[in-house]
Amino acid sequence: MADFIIEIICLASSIAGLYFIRDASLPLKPLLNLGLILIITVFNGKLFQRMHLPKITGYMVAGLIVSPYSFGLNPASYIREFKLIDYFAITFIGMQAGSEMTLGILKKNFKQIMVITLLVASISIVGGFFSMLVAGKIFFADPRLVKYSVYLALFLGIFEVANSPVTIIAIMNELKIKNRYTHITLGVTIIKDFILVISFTLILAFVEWKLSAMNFSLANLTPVFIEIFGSAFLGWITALLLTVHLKYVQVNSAVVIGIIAFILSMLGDTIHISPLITGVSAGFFIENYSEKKAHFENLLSDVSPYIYVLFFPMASAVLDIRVITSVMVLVLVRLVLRKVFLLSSFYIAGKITEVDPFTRKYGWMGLINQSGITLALAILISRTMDSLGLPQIGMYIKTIAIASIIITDFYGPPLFKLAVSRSRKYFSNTE
Amino acid sequence: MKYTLLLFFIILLFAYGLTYYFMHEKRRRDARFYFLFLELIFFLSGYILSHFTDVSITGSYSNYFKFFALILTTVIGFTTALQFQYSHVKRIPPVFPIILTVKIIVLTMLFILFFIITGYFSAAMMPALIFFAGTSFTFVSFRHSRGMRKIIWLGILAPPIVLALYLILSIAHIVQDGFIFTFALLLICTTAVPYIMHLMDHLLDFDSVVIIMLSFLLIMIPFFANMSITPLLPAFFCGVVLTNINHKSANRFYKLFSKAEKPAFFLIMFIAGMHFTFSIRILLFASILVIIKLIVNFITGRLIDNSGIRGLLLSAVGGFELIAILSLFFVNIISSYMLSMFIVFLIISQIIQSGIIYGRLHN
Repeated sequence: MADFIIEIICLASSIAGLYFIRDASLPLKPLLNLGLILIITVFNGKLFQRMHLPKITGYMVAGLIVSPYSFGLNPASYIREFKLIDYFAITFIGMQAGSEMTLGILKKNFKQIMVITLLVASISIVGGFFSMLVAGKIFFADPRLVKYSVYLALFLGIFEVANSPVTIIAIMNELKIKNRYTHITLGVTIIKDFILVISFTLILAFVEWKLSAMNFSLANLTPVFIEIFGSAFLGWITALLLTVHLKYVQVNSAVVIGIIAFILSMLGDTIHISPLITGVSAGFFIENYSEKKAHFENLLSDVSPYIYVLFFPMASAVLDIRVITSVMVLVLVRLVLRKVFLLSSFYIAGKITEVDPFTRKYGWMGLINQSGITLALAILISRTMDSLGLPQIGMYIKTIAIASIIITDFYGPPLFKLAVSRSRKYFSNTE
Repeated sequence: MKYTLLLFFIILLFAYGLTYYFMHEKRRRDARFYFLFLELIFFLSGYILSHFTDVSITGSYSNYFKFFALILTTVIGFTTALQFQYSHVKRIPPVFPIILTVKIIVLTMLFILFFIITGYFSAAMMPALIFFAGTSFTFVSFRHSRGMRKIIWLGILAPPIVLALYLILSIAHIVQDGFIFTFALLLICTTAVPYIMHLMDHLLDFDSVVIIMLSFLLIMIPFFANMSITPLLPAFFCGVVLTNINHKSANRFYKLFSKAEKPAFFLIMFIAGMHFTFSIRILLFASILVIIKLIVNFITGRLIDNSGIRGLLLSAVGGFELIAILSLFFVNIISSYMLSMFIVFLIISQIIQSGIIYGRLHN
């Protein structure tokens, strides 16, 4: 009890500290804000752990508390500066995801993963499109958007496929449980991301073609394939370099991984490769083809707590919570339908192939959380629509994406944590 | 600008990896030369980047460099301080007061000399401080614990004294009503931090404790910077108190942070290079200070055990002094001219000391 009171006092004092200094004029004030944000994040995570909820949900709630759009405790410019952590975090988390993809386990579950992935993707896209086509006509806040309902439905349909591997990895690390359920969930999530990127580019190119006067050409699709395969190739190079470092240099490896993650993310900005896919590819190759995989895994698990405590609050701090109210009904309809699509996918998968009863029942819980990738796609749509002179479409898509992320961030991780905790009894740990 | 930064990071990563690779192939006693080489590479890269490319230290990335440098210097200062256990102080040999006395006498003489020349307190203090910079804890020493045992009798009080002198400089720089009271209050709060960490040790896992500790270090920076006091001071103070009230926790912190010590120092050299400005006057002035320092060290060595060479061996300037100077620079207490002079002084001292050591090792 005393511990709980101390934690509450520390949390409350830090929040109060942020409140009282918000108008203070101090040199290097962003560092002061960052220090207080970190304290709030750590204690919020601890409190959520006490309530048997995932730590990262606590981190994300901390982000909402310190967000400039909720209580105004931090200026938006500070949060943008702190988002620099994304340069490390995304690649690093991709490496963690890739290092979970052991070929032996993938081969064992390959059929299930592919069947589930294809079913989830197709049912979600098709179901999402038609349901949004109908729902949109009823619930669109702006009547001007009804004219573009087909295109909006296409985008919202593709968003149904989006799913965050970051949250899955974080919860698996927190609970230290790895079994068939977690392997299948992670495998489905990562392969779905590939399908998402390809489908999204096709759909965006199609919408751009229809809404503008330009001629459609297959050459428009070249960048996406370059991005995917280029990223995978770069990941392989990264894996080679890291293996050489771990074998011959052997010191300061965590720092070197951090710098490589930073470089890859900067490359992502400049030559349009995906740092996430690069990280996944690098982690995958090291895990399956490098003799230093054990060392690599230890490094990742040593560094991950520090990455999460910065990445997750900042990811939610940029979300404008005020936008939820304007699109609440449509978002709730989407989320209910999302669960229906997922449940039906797993049900059909269970009929087609051997999916164990546990995964059939709880598999959907790992695929709820949408997070970063949805926002990134929404921003891309917004930029494209702005260039076509239709900013209202982009704005609306971004609003729905943000609202969906905020809501799924709340209940997605706890649901997955519940499923993973229960899977411990059902499966024996394989590692 | 992004492309340039990217290219440099990639080059530095390769240089780092190659140097370490070749270092492992050679005898370990030659390691310090490889580290010196790597320090110079990083330093020169920073210099080339900011002076000959489109990367600007006053541009959009300037805040990031500043924050990063201050965070690094504060953490390094904290890590250094974790080694200052009271039990070590009790083991100082009798010669140490002699050395300290000689250094303080020379420092005072230098201060008076420069005060007469310049007429300004702070301008006079800086060269004196630069001269005083001792061999406390050279960050590039390959075996840190061995380095600790060898030079602890000389270096143990140097960082606190240096910091005290920097504090005097800060007071001279800005004297305002309530300064002493505010400073005392801040110092009391800083003292409370290690006790809070001691409590956190029972509440949270170690990773969370590290994050909370780093948060407190970050929080202290703006308050002390607002009073033009280097944030290194509270970090150092915090570390000393922590290591003496909770040795176990301090050891764990040290074990964790010391892993990143060398890369952090190389990055510090990179940032120092970015802010370095070269002129013949700087080179001349720094060289004169090096010569004076060598003479004094030689004489001191002769006084102690008739070995002038031992005194010369301790001529190098440690990383602690560099990060102290950098932290003063980033809170606008000293100019880039002073910073550059110190860097030249540091490089020349390191080269001379390394040359002497190399000569001894291979003869």
